[in-house]
Amino acid sequence: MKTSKAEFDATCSLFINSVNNYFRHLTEIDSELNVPYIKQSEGLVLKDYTGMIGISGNRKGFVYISADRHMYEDLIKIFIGIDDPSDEDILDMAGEISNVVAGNVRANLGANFMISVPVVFQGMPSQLKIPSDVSIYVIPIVWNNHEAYVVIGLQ
Amino acid sequence: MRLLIVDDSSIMRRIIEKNLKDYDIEIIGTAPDGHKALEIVKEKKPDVITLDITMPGMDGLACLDEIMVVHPAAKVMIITALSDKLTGLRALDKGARGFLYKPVNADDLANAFDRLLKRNENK
Amino acid sequence: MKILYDLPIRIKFAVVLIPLILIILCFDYFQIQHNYLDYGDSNRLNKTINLGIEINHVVHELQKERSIAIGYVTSNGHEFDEQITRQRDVTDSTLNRFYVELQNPDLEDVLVKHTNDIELLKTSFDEIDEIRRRVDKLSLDPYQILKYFSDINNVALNTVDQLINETRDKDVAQQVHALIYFLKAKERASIERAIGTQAFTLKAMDDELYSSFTSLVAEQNSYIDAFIVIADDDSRDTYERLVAGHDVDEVDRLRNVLHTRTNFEVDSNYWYEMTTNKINALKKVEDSISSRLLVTTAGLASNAFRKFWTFIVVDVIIGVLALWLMSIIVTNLLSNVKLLEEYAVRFSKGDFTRRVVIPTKDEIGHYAHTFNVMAGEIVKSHNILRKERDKAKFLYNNIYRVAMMVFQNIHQGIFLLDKNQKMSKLYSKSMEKIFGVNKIAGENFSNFMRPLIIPRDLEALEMFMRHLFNEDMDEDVVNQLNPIEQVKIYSEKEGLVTTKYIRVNFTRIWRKDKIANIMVTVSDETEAVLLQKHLEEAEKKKKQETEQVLSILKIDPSLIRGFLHNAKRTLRSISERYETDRDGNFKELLQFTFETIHNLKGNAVVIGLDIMSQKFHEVEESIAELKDKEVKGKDFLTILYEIDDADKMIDDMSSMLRKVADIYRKYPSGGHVVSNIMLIDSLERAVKVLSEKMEKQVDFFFKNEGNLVLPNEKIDTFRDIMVQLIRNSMRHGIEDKAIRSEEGKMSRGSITIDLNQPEDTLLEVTYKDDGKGLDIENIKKHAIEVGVVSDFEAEKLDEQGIIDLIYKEGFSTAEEIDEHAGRGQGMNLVKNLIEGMSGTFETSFETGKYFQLIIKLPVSGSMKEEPELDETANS
Repeated sequence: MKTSKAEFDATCSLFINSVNNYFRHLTEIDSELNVPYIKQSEGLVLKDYTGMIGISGNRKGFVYISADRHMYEDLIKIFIGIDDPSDEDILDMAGEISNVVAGNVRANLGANFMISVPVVFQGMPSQLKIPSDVSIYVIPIVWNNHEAYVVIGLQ
Repeated sequence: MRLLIVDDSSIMRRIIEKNLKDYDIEIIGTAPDGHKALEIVKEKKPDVITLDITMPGMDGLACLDEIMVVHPAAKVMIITALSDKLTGLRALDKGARGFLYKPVNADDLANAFDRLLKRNENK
Repeated sequence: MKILYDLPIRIKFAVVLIPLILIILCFDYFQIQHNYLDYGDSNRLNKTINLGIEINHVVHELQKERSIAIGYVTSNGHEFDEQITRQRDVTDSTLNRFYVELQNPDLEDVLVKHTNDIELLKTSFDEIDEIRRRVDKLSLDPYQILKYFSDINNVALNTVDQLINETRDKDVAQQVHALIYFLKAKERASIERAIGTQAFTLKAMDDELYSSFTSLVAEQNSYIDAFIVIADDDSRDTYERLVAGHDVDEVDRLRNVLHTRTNFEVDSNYWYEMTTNKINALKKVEDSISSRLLVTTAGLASNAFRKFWTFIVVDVIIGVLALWLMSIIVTNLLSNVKLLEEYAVRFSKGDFTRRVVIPTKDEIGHYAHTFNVMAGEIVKSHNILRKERDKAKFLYNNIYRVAMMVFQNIHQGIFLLDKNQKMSKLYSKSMEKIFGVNKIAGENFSNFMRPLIIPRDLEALEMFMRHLFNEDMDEDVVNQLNPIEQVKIYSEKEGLVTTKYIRVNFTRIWRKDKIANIMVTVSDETEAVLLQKHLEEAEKKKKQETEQVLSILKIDPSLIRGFLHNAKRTLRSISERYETDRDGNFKELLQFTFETIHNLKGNAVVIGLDIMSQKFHEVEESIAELKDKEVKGKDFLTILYEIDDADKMIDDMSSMLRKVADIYRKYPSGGHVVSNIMLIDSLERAVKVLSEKMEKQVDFFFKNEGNLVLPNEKIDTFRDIMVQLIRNSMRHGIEDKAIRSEEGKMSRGSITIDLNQPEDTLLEVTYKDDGKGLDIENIKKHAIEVGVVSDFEAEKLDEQGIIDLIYKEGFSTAEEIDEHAGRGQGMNLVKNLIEGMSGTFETSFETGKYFQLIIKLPVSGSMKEEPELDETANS
């Protein structure tokens, strides 16, 4: 039982660290983890913009990286220095984060994990591609006073 | 040194641009896809090109092939979130001279460019 | 020659010395022989001279007889008649003496050589008698007489000459010759006397006689001259002393007279007398010479004899001395050489503890000294070598050996690649273990990896290697694209395909501007994966345990279903609480989680669902671990996972339960009465389980005289409270059997729960055990110890205040943490639960007698049982 715990820990850490690393490496501001919780798919609430990474292979599931517009605005401001980015910029930014996280995770998970190219969407989609029998862990990550979710649903 | 930035994400293009602000290099253009990139290469013959791999239309590797045909002296640095080794090696095979994984910050870029341009050889 | 060189020293000495000694011996032998010959020679000469002297005596007398005979014949018998007779007697006596001497045995060997001479002489002497007879008859003339006698004398003198003229001594030989010359001169003098006698007797001298006389005188003078020349001083002195004086002068005067042949007026007797005197003088000289020769030869003989023995003695002494010296020197030399050899052997065997001691100052002594110096030098250089060796050893031990040990023992595979991608001969031992092959050295790396990895990775690897060896390509850039940084390899061993997860890293090794080698390190990361597999198996086993749970379910499925439903709801409430919590008080959240889980654990114990109680215990453990440190958001992920895991377990059990649900479908369940019966049953079970575990015999009494039925929603909480109290009584209240006996109590303890409804809106539950009650002082002391109350505050508390302390959070007298006792939760939990139902409670006790808790819970309406469900109670 501890195996899967170790694996669970490793997988979660991979995504969390990847996100943390993204913030720390590019903004030099550390992010913090809030108390996570478990949700059923019907009760899941996402933030303004979300990048979705699909996972297939030995374990199937998904990882969402979701945050409010303000956070993306802050990032763009730090990276590029513009104050009022367009919606397109925000989507671009959200996609970029998911891209990088997915790419990094892919390098570390090994051959048994297939990771899809992230899809970025705004708001809550009408239907989430979530398998019904998985526990969904919502991990709130606080960066620069913004809360982002790393949502992990893995078989 | 004249640089062309090729990335489908405008945010990424701007991030690279901004991060290289303090680096001694002149950015002569940016391109969101392979076709646009090739046009600029043909027209302006940049010394250095940063190239994303996953792009709509003509992807980075195909674009690299074309670049090497029209301007083989160009020093191409791949900047990608895609961590597939074979793809990266193929890029080297095709003539790329540098490689960076996203996310990249100013230091990463500066170091990578130093290596690419053989600056600060005593590192 | 080589044979000589190869001889041992002892033999070499012999080779040198033995010929030398032989030469010396030979020389000495010749010396001795020479002396021995000299001795014999001189001895013989001495004897022959003796014989010669006798012959000379005879000759001397014959000479006289001849002269007398001639005088006699010449005078026709008138004169010398008397003299002749006398002279013949004298001659005969000398002849006799000669014959006597001849018989001397000493002469035997001497005469062997001269037999012929002696025989001739004897024949000549035999003729004397015939001559005398004819003289007596006067039938011989003087010339005949002279001739006959002279012939005899010549033979005699020749014999003497032969006898004595045989010596190796030069001086003696010279004197012998001198004597012979002298004898010849004397003979001439004697003949002169005879001729003179004849002439003076006849008073005439014919020409023949005269010529004889003159030649005779001349011969005589020349012999005398020869004698004088070769004779030694003594002989000459003797001659000059004796042959002088009147008579000699008279002979010279008369000779001159005869020479003139004019005057013969001299008496022949006078002549005879004078010449005889002279001849006698000559005879004396002759005797003197003879005797001196005898003395000389005797001296020579004795001298030679002495020398002979001296040589022998000296030889012996020299020989002995030479042998002695030689043996000393050789022994010394050889012993020194032996010593040297012994030390050389000792040194050669590496024993330098001692030095050669050779006190002699010869070459060997010097050599020994040199040898010692040499040995010293050897020891010195030996020490240097030893130091160097130690240094080398040190280097070996500390660098090479360490390096080799590292290579032998390092868990990583390490090797080098050359330009042709050939793998180095030297590689770490782990390579063989990781790859399961021995054929590594010299292999082409791509070929080596080909059977181990998938074609896509191999293609990437070949590309990668090409870039890695390309000096123009940046190493970091290339290494970013290492396709086998983490790779799964498949290797076949004895028909079994094994899978391994390895990590391979490459480092360029530069020589000047060229890449000389690539260092490759390989680590085996399979273990983690294997562990995972192992744990997956453990999970499977756990599932089997879940199956076992089914057997428990058979006994009381509805009870478990109720528990599972409740537990799932409770677990969900935890996550809900997390989601809604925005205070960020992690400590409080953790405490909440802990209490909730602890409660669930208690319930699991009560219904005997060990597998769930264990699971919750594990969750509790992991929470307890966090309690002591600063809690972070991420830590909740672990808890959450554990909770989710427990939740999954509940789901698993629920599905199991569903499978057996059919069995129970006939029996409606979930009614109040059923729940109540199950409650009592579960409490009984709790007491039973705990009493077994703690080895205390405790009876459980549930009194419900009013047949009260607890409402369903209150059953779980009520049970939680009672379980906590039962635990406390079992652990702290009820004493061990031995103590109870001592105190005069029933050996079996008892726990009683009494339900009453004194008012419509009030349920009164009385919990009582017959244990030792509360120890006020201990509680106070403990409370201060664990920090529930301060020293100062405690002093102000009355008894009730102190009793209240046991309900405080963090107070627990449990020393041991297990699933039956509290974690400092016990009474605090009771309090929280009672208050959660808006109830009140009252504690009382009597030391050594009992502990009692009266709980008052508000209820609504009648709690009487509903008869229609009665019959399900026993299901």
